[in-house]
Amino acid sequence: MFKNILCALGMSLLLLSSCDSYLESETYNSIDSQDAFKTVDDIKAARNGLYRNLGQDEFCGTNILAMGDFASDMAVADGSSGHYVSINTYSVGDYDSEFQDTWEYGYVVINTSTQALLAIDNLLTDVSLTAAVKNELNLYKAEIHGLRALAYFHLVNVFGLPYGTDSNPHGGLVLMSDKAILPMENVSRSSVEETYEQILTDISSSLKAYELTSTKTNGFYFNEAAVNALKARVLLFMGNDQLAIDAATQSLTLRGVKEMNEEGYLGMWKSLTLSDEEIFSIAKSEDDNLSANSLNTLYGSYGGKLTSSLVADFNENDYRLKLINTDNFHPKKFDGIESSASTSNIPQFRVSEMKLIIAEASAKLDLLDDAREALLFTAKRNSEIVSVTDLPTTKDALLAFIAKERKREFFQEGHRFYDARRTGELITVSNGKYVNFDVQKFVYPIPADEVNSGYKCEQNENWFDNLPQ
Amino acid sequence: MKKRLFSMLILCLIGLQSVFAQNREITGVVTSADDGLSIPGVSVIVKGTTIGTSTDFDGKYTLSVPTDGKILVFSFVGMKQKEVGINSNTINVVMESESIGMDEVIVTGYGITKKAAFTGAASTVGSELIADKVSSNPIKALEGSVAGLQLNSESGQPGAPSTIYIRGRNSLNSGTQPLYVIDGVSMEAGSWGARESEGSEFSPLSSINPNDIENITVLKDATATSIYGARAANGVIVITTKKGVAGAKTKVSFSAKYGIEEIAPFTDDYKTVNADEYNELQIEGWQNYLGVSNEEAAKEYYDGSIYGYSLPDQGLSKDNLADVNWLDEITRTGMVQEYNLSVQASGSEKYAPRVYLSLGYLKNEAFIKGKDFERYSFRFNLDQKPTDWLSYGVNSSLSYTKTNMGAGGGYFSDPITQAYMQSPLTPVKDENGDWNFNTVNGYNPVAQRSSLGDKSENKTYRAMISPFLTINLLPELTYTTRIGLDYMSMGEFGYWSFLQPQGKDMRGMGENTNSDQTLITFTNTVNYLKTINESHNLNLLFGQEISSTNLNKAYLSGSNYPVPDKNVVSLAATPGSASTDKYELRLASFFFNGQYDYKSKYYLSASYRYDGSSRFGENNRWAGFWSVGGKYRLSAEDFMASTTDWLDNLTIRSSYGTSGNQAVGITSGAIQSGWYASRPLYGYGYNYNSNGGSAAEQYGNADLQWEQTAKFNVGVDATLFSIFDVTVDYYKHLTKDMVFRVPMSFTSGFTDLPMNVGELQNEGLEFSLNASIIRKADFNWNASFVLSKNTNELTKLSTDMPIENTYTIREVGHDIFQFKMKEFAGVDVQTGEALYYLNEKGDETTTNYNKASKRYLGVATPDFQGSFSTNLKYKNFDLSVQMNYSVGGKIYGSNLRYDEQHGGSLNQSTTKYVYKNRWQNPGDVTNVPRFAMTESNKHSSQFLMDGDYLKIQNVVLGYTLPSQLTNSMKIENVRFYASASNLYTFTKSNYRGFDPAGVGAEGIQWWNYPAPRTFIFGVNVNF
Repeated sequence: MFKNILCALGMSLLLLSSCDSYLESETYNSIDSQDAFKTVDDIKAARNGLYRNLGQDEFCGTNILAMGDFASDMAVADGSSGHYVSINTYSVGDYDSEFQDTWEYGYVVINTSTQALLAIDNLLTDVSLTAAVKNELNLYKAEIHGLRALAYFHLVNVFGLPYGTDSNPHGGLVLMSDKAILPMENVSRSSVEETYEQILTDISSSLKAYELTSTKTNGFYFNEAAVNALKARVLLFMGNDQLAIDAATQSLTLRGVKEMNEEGYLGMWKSLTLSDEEIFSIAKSEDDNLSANSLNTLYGSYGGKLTSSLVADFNENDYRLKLINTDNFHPKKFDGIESSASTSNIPQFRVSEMKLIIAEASAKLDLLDDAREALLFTAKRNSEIVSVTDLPTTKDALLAFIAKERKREFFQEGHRFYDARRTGELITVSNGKYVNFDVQKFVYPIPADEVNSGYKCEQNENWFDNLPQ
Repeated sequence: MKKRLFSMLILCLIGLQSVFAQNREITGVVTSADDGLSIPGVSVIVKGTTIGTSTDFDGKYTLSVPTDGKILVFSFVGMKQKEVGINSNTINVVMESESIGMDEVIVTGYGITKKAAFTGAASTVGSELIADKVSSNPIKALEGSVAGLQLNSESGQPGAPSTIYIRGRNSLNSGTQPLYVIDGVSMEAGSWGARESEGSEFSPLSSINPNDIENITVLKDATATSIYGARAANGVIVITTKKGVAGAKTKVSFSAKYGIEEIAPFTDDYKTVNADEYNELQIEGWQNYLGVSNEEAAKEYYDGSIYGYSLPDQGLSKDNLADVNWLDEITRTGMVQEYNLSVQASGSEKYAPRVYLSLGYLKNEAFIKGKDFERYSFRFNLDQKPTDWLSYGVNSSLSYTKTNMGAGGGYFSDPITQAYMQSPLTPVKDENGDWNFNTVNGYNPVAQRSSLGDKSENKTYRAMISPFLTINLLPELTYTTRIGLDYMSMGEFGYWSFLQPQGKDMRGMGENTNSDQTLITFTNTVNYLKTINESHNLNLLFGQEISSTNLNKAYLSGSNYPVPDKNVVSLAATPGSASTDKYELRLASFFFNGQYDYKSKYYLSASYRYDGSSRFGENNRWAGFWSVGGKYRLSAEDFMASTTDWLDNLTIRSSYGTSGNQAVGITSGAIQSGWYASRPLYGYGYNYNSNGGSAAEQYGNADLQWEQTAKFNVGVDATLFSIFDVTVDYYKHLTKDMVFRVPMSFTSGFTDLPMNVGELQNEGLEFSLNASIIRKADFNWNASFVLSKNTNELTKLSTDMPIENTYTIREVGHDIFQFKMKEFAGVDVQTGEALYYLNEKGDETTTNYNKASKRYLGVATPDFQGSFSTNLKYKNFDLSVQMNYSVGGKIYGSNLRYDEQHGGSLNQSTTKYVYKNRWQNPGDVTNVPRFAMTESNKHSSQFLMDGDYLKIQNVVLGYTLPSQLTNSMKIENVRFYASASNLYTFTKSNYRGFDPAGVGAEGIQWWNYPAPRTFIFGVNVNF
């Protein structure tokens, strides 16, 4: 009996002395954040994580693209499933999850990028690094600058007014360049102009870092051609047409342009292999896709479809029409691969876009021949157009054609809403309910949770006054 | 018992001795007023002498009384002593229970104590209240029965958890559920399920067989709970299982229940429209949208083409329309059956082992198709005192539960959600008898829950084994060591079938989740019990405890099945994601409890516990919790002597102390969430393009620490006229250092961060009255009334900013369940458009929703709630009725924004409320806007309702066969009964929903799976 007691008492004493170590529980799936960016492998993992977050449905996987179409004259949401209906019908509020999610994931990319870039610069100060490691680190630096620029660009397009239309000193984004914003820090939005400056700075830092690396990546990563493609798009949005042409041309040079035939063009939407058309696409796979939250589902079982007006814009001999079921206006770009309907890569930059940027910027600069030549690249997907002589001859007609050509080329890829805001074109929204809507004056609200958090992020005051009536 | 037998023997001897002096022989039978049964062992003494005897096994006695004997004194533990004049040779006596219950014990922290000496606030619910109920989850028996306990079952799914708040919700963002302790060992009781966030959840409490439970004690105040320290802020629920009874003969019990369950009746306003009403609304909707006449709209709707939404557009024909009530289609008459066999046994001698053994089986087919629950349970409890200085025992149970859950609670694919969306015009099956998927959204909830449809199986094996050993070191000093093992292994299989759109797209998707959790607790206590000078009673307890929880999870999925009817994951051609997770949590504690009383008149108690948890960083890893309590039995004072004829007992007790909440940092209902709350974590698994990736998961907060709830309680217990037992308690809780997930600017890469910033106050009054109105051998009637009132107020928040959502707000000075939303101002009588009040005050209205200001519009917290219940026993019949009520809380019908759609959700159904009340013509004054396509509902007080209810919770009618009949069959007793539960709920007229009692405490209604109405027939046989 006393033996038992002694044992128990002994154990108790043992426990007393070792209590604190007893309470050191183990984490199995994660590490301490302080150890997150210590080695080149850590940076590589963080960079992969950034692509992952960029490609989530909350950001470029679905939301950015879906807003571009459902908020414009491209797509109609299905009232029965309810998905994207509020964006589509302009019955939005600052509490809508689409805004919260987009803002959250955009800033996850921006904030983590900022931390990773700082860590890379720290690592690069180590003189003992081998050339191979430096190469790798500069590659990641280039990619991550590009990713941050892309995230800023998408967010400012959703939450800011178009470049050059807004004098509000706090109409742009909360910016960070060298130091990541920490929790409990007050923040303030910059102007749209300042945001674009930051985007251009990031692009230029990215391109500089690409000069310091010889490692190449493919189109599932933000390669040098893709950063130039982003630069071209940004400059077009800023109205810097000549520079946009230069950047687009540089992107095409780096990418290497091969003409695609009809079979190749139609086939790329059913394949997970990179095609000659893609400059940067978000990679998805059967075991890693957005499932119910994918564009595939939005245009599939959630009932999203194209507007009849868009379908009417196609010539019947345009092979891109084969990507649309003309009976029910179901678009087929994101119908997945044979074995998985919810798996499609999500193109972010394509060769055709560069051609159309060159076309549009050239036309605006009165370089009409250049414009027509570039435009022909996509326009001849309508087999009735075989040479530049089949294309409009005046600047205005050309620009109008290009605007429609962009609709035909990019349906489901979410360009239209942002394009209309950029050009000031009055559009018909909410499936025909509101015509001649000046979408350039309209901006979405900063999410309520951001404003209500109390860290001083400014709201787009009275944003709702510019809702379509 | 042995003592009693011994004294009986002595008394017999005394009786024998006095034979020679007697000249009168008195005989009789002693029975109990409670149940009319005879009482063996009652001491019968001739007053003023030592002459006496005891009743035999049948309650009979024979006593020789000297001629000068005038009065017989009958006494028995737990019964009121009775004196009867000797005026005949046969004296039959009916004894009544002692209402003060001086010897009643209460199960508290780490032991039991006499209820009389207990200074805390606690309520006990006995087995009789638990066993007759029909619920797989034994905790549901507490609904309405315990003052200060609010129980909400947000899902009627068998096996689903209930939410319990004891004396209000004492935390906002951390754990809110009480600690569960079974036979002295803490147990896992959180919600489980791989898709728990989608409403597919399983409560580990459902693995316990209610028939094994002797009682459930709810510990409420500081004195009762502080001994559980860091886990006790939300109260403690102590479950005690049955044991063998010393000295009793072997008792074998068998019980069987069989019955049905069905959807409980609910308001017509919440029923969906039929086909004619639907068509009328659709035509009106198009009429209003297109601005055409009703005739033209009808023509277009029936024969034309309107943006793909006319009948021909939908592939429907005017002449061949179905009229489907989808809710009827997804429901059925469910079935409940339960069988239990138990044995309670012990040898007749003092050192013999005592055993309780039981086997149980329950099967419950829910009233929603495709959902069911099945449980096999086994319990073996043993204890023995083989020598005077040693006792040991083990409490053990094994169970296997199998549940088909399916999504619930508002998830899109939940059958109830779908039933409210589907159009009555689309049939369940097409003309060929195949499932019809040409529905509003491609879903067919009946097909989805059919045999080839979706699966959501949960199979849980659970073993709870707790051996213990007690050593009496000295007569006053005992040492107990106890090990508790709670092991749960859960295998889940989910399947998105070919019979739902997403599953069809993927050619089926299957997922397997395996979780196993081991919770080990090791407790050592030393107990010192001493009575000094027969008036100072001392009870001291010192203890030490460590516990460790380890959880392993593995998940894998696959899609693209070759055939629809074979769906084990290995058949899937396309592998999906796979993951494994591992977590651990540890707790170490030291504790002390002391009780002292003087002459059972003045009582004092104090406790202290020092807890350390692995959740927290080194700075704040340990914390102390304490309590003090006192009690004063006023009625024992001499100056109260004049009141003894009506006041049997009057005590005042009070306590103050602290308890903690370590379940902080919870981000979702996930069981392991918050286990590493204080740490900054960077996690893996954020892969891209088949390469490993990482991402920040939480920022961490090294200063994070326990929430502490200080609890003050003052209570009065009184017994009046030997009939009324009254307990009144007032309490006030203040939760300090309340953890908030303080919202962060999203630009930081995090949306929030757990911090100890808030303060929350709960204050309340509990009243319970139990009246033993009639206590006779063959007629027994008692009634009770329970009333609880709890108010809460946020006294400090993370920042000056309130935490606001579209229709609720958390703001200093307000209730935590405060509603603040745009106020609906009816509809424009001319246009039928929805109107909202423009400003925070005043009558000005607007049709522009975005411009309307929000207003404070009531709270979800009820003013008061509780129950009435009554038990009646007359001869062999018994009847009990329980009614629960809740008054003054508001409910926001978030689901009604969809269910009461008035055109915006094209082709979907709507409710009869919309049909009856919609605006139709200029001049109509109503609360439902016009039916017009594309017009959708916005969050506003249009959907804010009164949550008051009175529910007939339970009616049980029983009949016990006459003992003459059963005795002849060697059966102790046989009782048949019929029981109905959730019989009917009376609600306010503006309530539209299934059941206000099925809405959570926060008052937000979704498509909550309502509690079923059940009718059961049962039989209990004791041998």
